[in-house]
Amino acid sequence: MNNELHFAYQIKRHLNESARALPVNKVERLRAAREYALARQKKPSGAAQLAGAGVIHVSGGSAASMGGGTFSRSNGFEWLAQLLPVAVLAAGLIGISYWHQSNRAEENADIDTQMLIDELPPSAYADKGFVAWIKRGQE
Amino acid sequence: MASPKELSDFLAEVERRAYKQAVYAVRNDESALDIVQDAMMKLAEKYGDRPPEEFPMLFQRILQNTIRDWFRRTKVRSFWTMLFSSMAPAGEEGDDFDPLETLEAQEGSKSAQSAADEVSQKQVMASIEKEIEKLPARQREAFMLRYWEDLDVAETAQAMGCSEGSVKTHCSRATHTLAAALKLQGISL
Repeated sequence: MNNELHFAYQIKRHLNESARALPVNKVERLRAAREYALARQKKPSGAAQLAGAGVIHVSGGSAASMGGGTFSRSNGFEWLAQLLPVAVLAAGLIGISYWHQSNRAEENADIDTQMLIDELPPSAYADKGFVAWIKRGQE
Repeated sequence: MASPKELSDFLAEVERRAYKQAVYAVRNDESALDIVQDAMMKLAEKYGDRPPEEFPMLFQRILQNTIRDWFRRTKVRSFWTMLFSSMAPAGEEGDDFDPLETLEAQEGSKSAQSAADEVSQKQVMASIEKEIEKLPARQREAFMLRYWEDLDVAETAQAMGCSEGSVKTHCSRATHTLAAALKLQGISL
């Protein structure tokens, strides 16, 4: 076991040297990757921050249960925040569809009214000879 | 909660080793850099608000999973490549590593050591790295986490998702395989 540890230590020493001797371009890429990751670091949620600062006091319960409560509440808020835009979009689509349908119904009603109050009887529109006569007149 | 500086310090401390670990696993520099970047991002995005003491374990677990994902993706990609082309390229893995390149890349560096010592040390380093690459994935993973990252047996088991007994077995086998391979090349540490 001691031999194994000693051997592993020697390997580690060589590996560390190898890691230290990385080419500059690789080191730069790693630095850029690190900075990119840091820019996206997850921040503690508002509720957790308040709880951490001692603004929210929960009487009773262990520290662990308090942590659990905060965690599930913040998760709930995150869910709501994610769900809200989807709900708004769905409501918008339903509204547009309803408005479109009612517009169409009104247009149809207008056409029906025009046809009924016209001097020409509606059956004339179904007559092929009449349509042909109108076309000839336009030509 | 970890401050940005604590996370930055942790990543700066671990990034080179993480890169090397990924290179030993996937044997491709660019893929290894992508893997490390992915792992860093996942740690920052998902666990950036955790206490800094948890970072080493979390990061190693993420890194190992990202390496495994890379292998899965490569497998799927090579399956489709083989399906659509009988002239599939040999792949990026392994072929581009040459110990001589390592020596050439750092030829210009100056140190107090004599040139002969430096060359000999670099040859030893290259041999060690080559033998580590040859280890079975799980053995290499266990060896790296346990002895290079200094995780204890329980932490290594957790990071690898296996039992502590398996970690000990993997480590022991890896050590013996490495020792035997280096001895064959006349290298004694």
